Amino acid sequence: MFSKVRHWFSKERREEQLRQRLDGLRRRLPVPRFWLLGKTQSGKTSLIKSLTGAETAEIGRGFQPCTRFSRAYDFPTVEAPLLRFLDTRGLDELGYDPADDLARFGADADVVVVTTKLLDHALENLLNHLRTIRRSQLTRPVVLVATCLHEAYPQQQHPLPYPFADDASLPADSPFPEELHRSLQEQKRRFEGLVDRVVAVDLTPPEEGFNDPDYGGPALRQVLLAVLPGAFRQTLLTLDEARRELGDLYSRQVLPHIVGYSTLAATAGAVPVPLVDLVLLASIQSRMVYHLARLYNQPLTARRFTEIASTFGLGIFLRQGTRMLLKWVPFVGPVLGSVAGGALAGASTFALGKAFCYYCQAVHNGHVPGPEDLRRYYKVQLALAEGAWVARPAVAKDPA
Amino acid sequence: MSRWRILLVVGLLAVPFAGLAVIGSYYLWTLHWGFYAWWLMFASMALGYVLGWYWQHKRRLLRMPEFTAPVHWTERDAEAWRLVAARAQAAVSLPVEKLSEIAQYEAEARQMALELAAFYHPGASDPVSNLTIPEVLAVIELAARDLGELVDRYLPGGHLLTVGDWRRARQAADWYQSASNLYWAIAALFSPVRTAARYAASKVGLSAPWQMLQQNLVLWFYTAFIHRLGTYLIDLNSGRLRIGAGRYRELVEQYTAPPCSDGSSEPPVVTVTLLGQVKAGKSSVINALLGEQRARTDVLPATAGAERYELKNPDLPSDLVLVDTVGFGHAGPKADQVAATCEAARNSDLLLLVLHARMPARQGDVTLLDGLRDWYAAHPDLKRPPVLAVLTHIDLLSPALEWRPPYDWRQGLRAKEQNIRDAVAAAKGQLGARVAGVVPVCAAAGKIWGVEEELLPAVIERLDEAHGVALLRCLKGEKDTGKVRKIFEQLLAAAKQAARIVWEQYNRPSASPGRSPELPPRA
Repeated sequence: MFSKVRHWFSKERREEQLRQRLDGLRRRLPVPRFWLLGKTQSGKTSLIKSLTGAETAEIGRGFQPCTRFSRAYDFPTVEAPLLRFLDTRGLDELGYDPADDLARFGADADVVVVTTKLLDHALENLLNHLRTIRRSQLTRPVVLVATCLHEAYPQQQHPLPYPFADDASLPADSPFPEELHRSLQEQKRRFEGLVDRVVAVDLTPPEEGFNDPDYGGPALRQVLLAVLPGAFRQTLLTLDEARRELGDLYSRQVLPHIVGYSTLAATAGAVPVPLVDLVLLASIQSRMVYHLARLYNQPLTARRFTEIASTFGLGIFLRQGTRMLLKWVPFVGPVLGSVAGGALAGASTFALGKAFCYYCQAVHNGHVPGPEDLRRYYKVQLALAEGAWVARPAVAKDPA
Repeated sequence: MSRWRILLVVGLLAVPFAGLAVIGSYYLWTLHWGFYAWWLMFASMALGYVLGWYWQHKRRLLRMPEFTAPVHWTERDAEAWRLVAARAQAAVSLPVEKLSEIAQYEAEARQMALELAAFYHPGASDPVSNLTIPEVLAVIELAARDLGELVDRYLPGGHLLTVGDWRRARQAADWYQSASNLYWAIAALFSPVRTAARYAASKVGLSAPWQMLQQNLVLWFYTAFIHRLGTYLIDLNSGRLRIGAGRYRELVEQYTAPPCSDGSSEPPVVTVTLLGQVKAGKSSVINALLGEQRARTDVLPATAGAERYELKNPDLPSDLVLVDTVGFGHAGPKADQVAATCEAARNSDLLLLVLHARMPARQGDVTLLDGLRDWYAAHPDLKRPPVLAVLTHIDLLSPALEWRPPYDWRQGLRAKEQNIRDAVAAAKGQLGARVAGVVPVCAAAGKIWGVEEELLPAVIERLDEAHGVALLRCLKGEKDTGKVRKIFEQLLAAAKQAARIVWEQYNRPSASPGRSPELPPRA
């Protein structure tokens, strides 16, 4: 009886310790935090959709209440986030005071993204609150995203190619009607001194039938990359690159989750304290596998897969050990070990995730891949991922 | 003519018919058809009585005076009306004898006047003390005149009715009773057995309708009396009668008369004010209503001050004045803007709240409407103009690339129709009971849809209410200006009188009454 209680107690404590360590890790993750500021239906969800590739319903579900007037969305999951969006939805409400939000995440947000319809000129409230937010931290970049361009040319297709220059100015032979020009000028004048960059976009669901549902999306990503602090660029780039190579819609949805856990693992691997990370990494990787299994709706497969993976030394189980030694070498060790270890931890987690997806897909298609087959696939993915992670360190050295 | 002369004339006129009846009866008797003829007549009369009884039972023969609240009544007035209606309801249980006594009418009128005055001036120790004498006289005049009209219209031969007749109305049943008793007596002489059977039958079934008719008649008059008096007492306590009975009647007729097709009486102009956030499309809606580009529209906020446009449309029962206002920001934050908009709203008879279908941030609109509601709650003598929400830019709703009206947005299954329906439902959800309805339109030049199909009918539907608002505003306006003018005139008349007296005293020997009285007295 007593031993039972003690066992239970110690297990609880171990989990608690692990949870705390993961929390600490997440705080050091290079997750860019976007503070979205805009009226209802000014295109905030479409913007998240364009940046992450997530579905509208998924975004809606993912939002968690944050302050009285705001909510937060961690993409793809709260456990292993890649991007964080803070949505101030109370902006339209009477008596909204940005002080609450400033106190809660004002210091954290890396970039303020102001969304407004290009033709919306009832912006007094938005401008007032933006002024307060801008004053609170003058160095933080603010991007104005003018949305719903097509309302200026109703029932017509977007002119292709996207004609806006980097500073959202239009060439002399602009294909747009004059109203759009004047409205854009007015918006730029109104937000002068309050925003650093302006982007014009028109992000519509594909079923609307526009010739480009992500009109101006690449320009938006360029602008965000340009204004984000260096460390955060990597996440966006990795996400973008990894997504580009995959055609299958389902894999595209799952991939951000793998990248999320890989980044978490890479951050854990970068901690210059040896031995601790082995436990942590194993825990992160098994959490990822179980999470992916839930996404694939095959929770039973996860257990079978971890068995195979540990038998054949997939993931960190084989190679991390050799790198561990480096950390014991004084002075040089921690630095070298953290870069290489971080990259390896990230890459191996990524490859493990990909291998599991491969496994799940195969099971779904009716045949269980053999261990050799799985190992081969893992190695290919690891080589690819190592290239990506070692070439560009994915870890923010300074979490500020 | 004296009574015997009337009797003679009536007798002479009746003799041929009576003779015919006698001769006819004799003839029928010689043919042995009398029996059948009697049963036929009996059946016909019985049917008449039964129907008479049935319809009166259902109150169909003499319809109870129906009441529709005057268009200009406010919510407070409607509440006061409930007191009046309760009194009328209570009268049903009063005995007929009581209802035909003049004293009962007096008592009822006094009680009702006190009750309504107390309702309108709660907390006042003597609620009737602040009523002016002309007002009270106006109530009496108006109610009396209306009752006269009612009697003329609904009571056959009402113009011959004297007070004596009225007092005797109750006794009419007795006269009928005596007459019929005489009939039965005569009939019994000829055919005792059959008559006895018939008498018994008629006693059971046929005398009830007559009593009911009498009761109905008296109750009808009593109810009409309470209703009319109540109506004017409500107007009295609301202060609307201060302008005098004549002017009141004139204004009410002007605002409530059905429009004449020959244009002899010009219907009053209805002021329609368009409110909304900047760029919601107020000017575009005005242009669409006018059918021409007169209000300036632009991609940037274009309207700088309230502008007025006249709309004369043969389809409309009255001319409209459309007032374009400056749009407010999406939270309507500027106090002076809200004040100006409220001011414009107070001078209108109908409000169109213009909403952009694709901009659902409507806190500003809600704030504005709530502000208006509070203002009218603080001014219960005025009526809040009805508010219609106009949902513009529906062409931009998804699918945005499509514009193929007409759209059956109430039932249709096309994506656009469903989205219009959703947008209307969303606006209704946000605004709730603050608006009377939500009408989706597209007012963009070249794509106008829904203005003639949906908006104009909705406006016409609200015109009666709008007329009521206009009338109330007019009554209040006349009362306020009239009060000042009247006092001024009375003062002037008093001053003239005083001057004349002083003048005459100073010039007693040579005073001439024809001299100009306005001259100041010589000091």
